[in-house]
Order: sequence, then C-alpha cells, then structure tokens
Amino acid sequence: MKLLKILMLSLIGLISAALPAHAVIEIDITKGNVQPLPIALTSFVGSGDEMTSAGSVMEIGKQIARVVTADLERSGLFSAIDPRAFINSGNAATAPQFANWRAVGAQALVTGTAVLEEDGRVRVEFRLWDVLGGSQMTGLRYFTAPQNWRRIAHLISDAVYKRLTGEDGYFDTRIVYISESGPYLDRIKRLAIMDQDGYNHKFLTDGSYMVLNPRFSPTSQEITYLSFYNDIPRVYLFDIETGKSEMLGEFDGMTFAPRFSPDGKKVIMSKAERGNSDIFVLELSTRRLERLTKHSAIDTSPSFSPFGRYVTFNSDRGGSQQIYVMDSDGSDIKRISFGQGIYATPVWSPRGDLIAFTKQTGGKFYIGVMRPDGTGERILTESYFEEGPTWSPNGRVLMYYRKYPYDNQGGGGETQLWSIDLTGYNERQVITPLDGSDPAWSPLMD
Amino acid sequence: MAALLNKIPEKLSITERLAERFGPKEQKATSLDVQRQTMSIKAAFRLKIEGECWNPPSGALDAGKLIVVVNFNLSQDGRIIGQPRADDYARMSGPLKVAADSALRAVRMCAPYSDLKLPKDMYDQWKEIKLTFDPSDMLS
Repeated sequence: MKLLKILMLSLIGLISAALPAHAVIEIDITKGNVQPLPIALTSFVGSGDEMTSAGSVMEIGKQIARVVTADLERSGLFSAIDPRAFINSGNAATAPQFANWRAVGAQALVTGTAVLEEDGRVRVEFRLWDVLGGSQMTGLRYFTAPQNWRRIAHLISDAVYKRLTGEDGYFDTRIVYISESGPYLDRIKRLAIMDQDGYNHKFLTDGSYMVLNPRFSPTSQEITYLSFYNDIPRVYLFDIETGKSEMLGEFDGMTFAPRFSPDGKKVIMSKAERGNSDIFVLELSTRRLERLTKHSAIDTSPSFSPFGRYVTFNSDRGGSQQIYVMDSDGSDIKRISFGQGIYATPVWSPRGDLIAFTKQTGGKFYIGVMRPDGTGERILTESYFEEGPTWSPNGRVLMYYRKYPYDNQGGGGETQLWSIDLTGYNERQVITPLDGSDPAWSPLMD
Repeated sequence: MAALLNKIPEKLSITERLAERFGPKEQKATSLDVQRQTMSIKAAFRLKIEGECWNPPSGALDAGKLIVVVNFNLSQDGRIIGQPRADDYARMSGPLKVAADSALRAVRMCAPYSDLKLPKDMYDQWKEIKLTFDPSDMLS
C-alpha cells in the first residue's frame, strides 16, 4: 500500500513535470500588413446654425470635416470610411458607441463641433477616439475668426496625424512653385503660392520676367528665388506678408540655386564666373559672401543638413555629375553617389536621415533617396523627365515636378507637380491652375 | 455536383490543421507532446495576428527598431479578459507609442480567439499570452 502511494505520488510528479501548472506563452510577431488605417470622421456640427461672416456655422463644421478627411486620405496613411455607412451620426456631446463604429470597420474616430461664440469667433473642438480600445486618444479646442476655418481644419489634421503616426503633420503648410504657361519657346514663368492642398492659390509675380528655383525660409514667411528681372539672373528675397522683394547683393557673375540655412540666417547658392561655378554662402544680416568650394568643375545645387553642420551639393569634378557632402566650412569633401548615371539636385531631409536626389540614366529620370553616407540608395519614382524634389517639413513626403516632353530632346510639353510617400507608395498629382514646376514646401506655419 | 461538394472537407481551424501536420491527436500528454502543442498554439497566434490584424506603422524614422511587448489574458472561450497591456505604455511617446497602439489594436482586432480552437485541456498553457511585436525584418 505504501509502495502504491509512493508510485502514485511519483506519477503525479511526472505529470506535473510534463504539464507545468501555469506558463506564459511568448510569441514573436514579426510580420504584418502595412495598409491605410480605417478612420471615421463625423461632421463638426454643433447645436446651432447661426450665420457667421464666412457662412453658416453648420456649413463651416461640415467643411472642416471634409478638409480633414481629404488631408488624411491624401497622406495615403488613412482610409476614410464613407459617411453613408455610419450607424451613428457621431454626436460629439456624448461618448461614441464604439460597437457601432467597430461594426463599420473604423479603427479610429474623429468627432467634433463648430459653435459660434458671442464675440463672433467660432469655437472648434475635436476628439480622436481609439475605437477598438474604447478610449480618447487626444482632443483640442480652437477659437478663430470664421474665415480661418480652413487653417483650423489643417491644424486638426496635423494633430490627428501626429497622434496616429507619431510624427509631426504637414497639412498646415504651403507650397511655392513656378507656374508656367504659354508656348514652349516663349514660356511665361510666375512665382505662385498655395496651401498644400491647392487652395488659396496666388500669383506672386506678374510674369513680365522669368523666375526659377523658389525656396522657402525654414523660419519666416520669406522665399528666396532666382529672378531674371531686367534679363540679369540674380538671387532675390521675397517677403510673402508684404509682397516686397529685394536683391541679395550685387555680385560679379551669375548667382543661382539658392537655399536657406536651417536657421534662416544664411542663403547658400552657386555663383558662376567665366564658365565656372562654385558654392558660396551669404550671411543675410551682413550680406557677407563666403566661398565654400574652389574647383574648376561645376559645383551647384547646395543644401544644408538640418542642423547646418554639413552641405550636400552636386559636382562633375570626378568626371560625371555626382553628389558630394562636405562640412559647412567647405572642408572634407566626399563623394557619396556611385550608382550608374548622373545625379543632381540633392536635398537633405528635414529629419536628417536621407538625401533626396534626381538621377538620370538610360534615357529616364528618377527621384530617389540615399543615406548621407551614400548607402541605401532607393528609387521612388521614374519617368521620362522629372526632377527637383522638395521635402515635406516632417521628412515623410517628397514633392517634385514631372514633364511630358513633346520630343525626345525634352522640349516642350506639360509640366505637373507630383508627390510621393517616402515608402514609395501613394504617388499622386498635385493639381495647379496652370502648369507647375520647381515646387518648394514651406515649414509648418506658426 | 452535390456529391462533389460533400467531398470537400469542413474548414479546419489553424490549430487543427497544425495538429494534423505536426502530430497525432488523442495521446496521453508527454513532455514532447506539450512542447509540440505549445508550438502549434504559438504558430496559430502568429498566423492570425500577422496575417489578419497587425498593421505596423511604417515610414517613421527607425520604424524597424520600434519593438513593443504586449501581455493579455484569455478566457477559456478565447475572449480577452480585461485590457491588453503594452509594457511601459505610460512612459512612451511619439513613434514608439504609435507602435504600441498598433500592437494593442492588432490584439483587440483579432479577438476573440475562439476560432483558433485552442485545446481547453491546456488552458493553463495559453491563458496568459506575451507577444513581442518586432517589425525589424519588414521595415529595415
């Protein structure tokens, strides 16, 4: 009997060893499907429908939801659920019925209101909800003059984007570019500006002289560009608020390809004299011009790294046009592009991790990115003619222009602005009233 | 036609398919069997979450380095008890918090886990799950 007991206890011991009473199963999840996040956005309708100086407040609420929806969809990272599928209208005064939003496939939900205040301003509030977790993720309130509702919509898009992607948004921004019209041999090129979604379009110059290479200041509402005013190519500074422009000094030779330093205090550019072009930097407060490169080759298209420590540029000093990086005092010049073909228009990403470029090989043009040490080259787009990439201020999206030439020499044809996500997805045309080229993205507005 | 249709086997759950592939059923649990079962339970979770539910944030700076650990408890019928928890969630911000959100969303979206037909006699083995979401292979 005692022996049997011992045997039974031993057996129990063996079974226990085979089946541990309680364990945590640990699993590595290493794959997923990257796809747009399904999001539901309800109209920002409050309790009233009073008239404001910019239309009825109810209509403003509806328009805000439409603009936020369009912003988020255009990013390619979200897919908005058709409001006709909604089970609830999304009363912003109460907590959402999450089961109903889950039933229509939403994983995130934006609700909000627009209400007219006694002082004539509109109060806009929104909340972002995690549908599956049943909790609020963020919420903000804005007061604004009714006619500013569009900017408030972009600010809401930026807040939603930031909470759901972890990166700053880029919706409250503008694009300056060259608007083109007229026949190929007598092209009218005007400086133009618009919101990143194409609204509030304005011409900044009248087309009586040619303009090229517009670039935004990273710190103020100023643009630098190349103007052929009086048929002399010079770099100018344009104040968007006042509409005034001024020439950045009178130098020997021709100055072109200007770009601001990250602190907005300098402009780096190319200066050509007697057929040779080198990189110079101009201190805006003193107008002192400092030479950075001195070489018999063509050095051009300079762009600062985000903290101003390095400069990337292109040069044919090695025999063909390639991308180089140097310290911002002009020392320690290193070639970084070694692929097939020629490389041009390098632009350092605002977040510092990549340099975008235009590449030309095998009769085609490409927009691509590489790390600042030249590794990890990745082509994002290709066509018969495209160039001039510019970064969104969060370093996530590139805009550039594409031309559809009439002949195989690149002559004539329609020019259009296009944008693409850094991942190589979501390429789409940016609609402009006339042809568009040479875009430059503004920083986030204050 | 009807006869043909009848020949099509009923749809098996992932665990059943894995059990068919990896070993015989209806045997006394040995240490090896438990290991094998545990492996098929793990594989079933992986297949479901990787194939149907995880939408990792891409394109962020160093997106491939955003590794998140999520714990949750399951009831015997495969429902989540309470809320799934991401380690250090309260201290997270920016892209890492967004990565944690995507992991939590995946766990919730895949619930309930009843379709995995997890073996009830091994409930103690799978009542607590720890998932490590590591996108380094796909977003390097």
